[in-house]
Amino acid sequence: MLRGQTACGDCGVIIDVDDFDTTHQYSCPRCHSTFYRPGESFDLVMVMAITATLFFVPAIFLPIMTLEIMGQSHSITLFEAVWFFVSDGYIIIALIAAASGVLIPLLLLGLIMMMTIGLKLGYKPRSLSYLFRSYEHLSGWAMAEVYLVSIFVAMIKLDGMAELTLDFGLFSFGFFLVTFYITIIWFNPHDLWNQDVLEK
Amino acid sequence: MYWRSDIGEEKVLCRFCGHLQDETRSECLQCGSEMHQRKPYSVVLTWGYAFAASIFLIPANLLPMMVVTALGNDEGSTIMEGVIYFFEHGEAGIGAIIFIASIVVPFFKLTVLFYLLVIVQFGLHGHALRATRLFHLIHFIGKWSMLDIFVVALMVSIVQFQSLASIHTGGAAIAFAFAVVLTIVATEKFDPRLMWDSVKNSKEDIICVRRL
Repeated sequence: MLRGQTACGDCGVIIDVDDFDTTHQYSCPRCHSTFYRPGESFDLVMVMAITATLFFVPAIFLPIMTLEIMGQSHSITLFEAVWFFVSDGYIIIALIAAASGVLIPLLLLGLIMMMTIGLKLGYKPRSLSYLFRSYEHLSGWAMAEVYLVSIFVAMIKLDGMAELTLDFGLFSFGFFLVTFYITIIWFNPHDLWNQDVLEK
Repeated sequence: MYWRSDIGEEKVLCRFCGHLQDETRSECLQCGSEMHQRKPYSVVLTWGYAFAASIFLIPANLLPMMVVTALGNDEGSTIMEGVIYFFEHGEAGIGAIIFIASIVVPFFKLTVLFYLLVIVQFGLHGHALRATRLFHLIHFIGKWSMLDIFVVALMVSIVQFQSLASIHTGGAAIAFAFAVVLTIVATEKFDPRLMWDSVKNSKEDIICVRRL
């Protein structure tokens, strides 16, 4: 809860927040860093998180592209793309790419859903603090948008080698990414502790 | 202008939930996280991770990123050769994206990290405002240097036509992945508040900083 006294997390200055509400952005007077960013209501966030998760299933299991090289046709899904790499021997890269591109975004959505649904079921924010901390730790490692751009770069690189056709999986991944980012932008985990201000 | 800092007021801020409380307790009353006035061993860890990342950047730029085997010929290409390939084939936009993501961003990020560390080590709080902005910037752009790793990961799994053509990862991929991850960890470990701690010239404050 920010009412009363808080401190800037980026420069350590003590800030008195006289009237706090969850619709304005607050920044530090000394280092100009934002220390409170308004989010949307948890109901909206929950709906958006569920939407994103639904898009995730076709994104990962449907083929993202088909390529044809000298008569051989080959469809590739994201799941195979991640899985194949493990057998290539460079397991560390496979793990880093799979985790940051696909798994951590999914995990973040799971955590958001658990927190928002948990609050709806009447759990106290304090009992959700483990989820909250995991969310804060992981949120810096979600790189789904980089992954999407890399798919496009890979396609352009392949364009000279083979015939390429885009498949539905890629569009699903695009939708997943858009809904995922809307969820992340709308969700302000710090509002867990501002419930009394939000409900007013 | 006179600023009160959390150290001077004997308060500690929860890094997770933003709750401010007296420094007598080590656990956050609001969310139960472990609390530190400043991130523990921030300067030492940031130096360490930043140095390790710089060392990994050398093989990352010299070794081939991926090896293309087509009709029996092996052909490796480094990051820079990949960029040049795009420029030569009329895809200057993509070439520029890869150049920025894999060469400009990692070097810029490490330079900024060393700059931030120098500010902390010498107490140059005059630079603190600009440095805090740079810190936010490298936080934001850091993940884009993973782009080339993802491209290689995708290419390897997509192009597998046994005898006709196949792609394998080169040594640079793993070195580059390590360099990027270590830079991100270094940024996480760095505590920008340390740059501001020397702003007030009172003796107690400086002693407090050294103690942590």
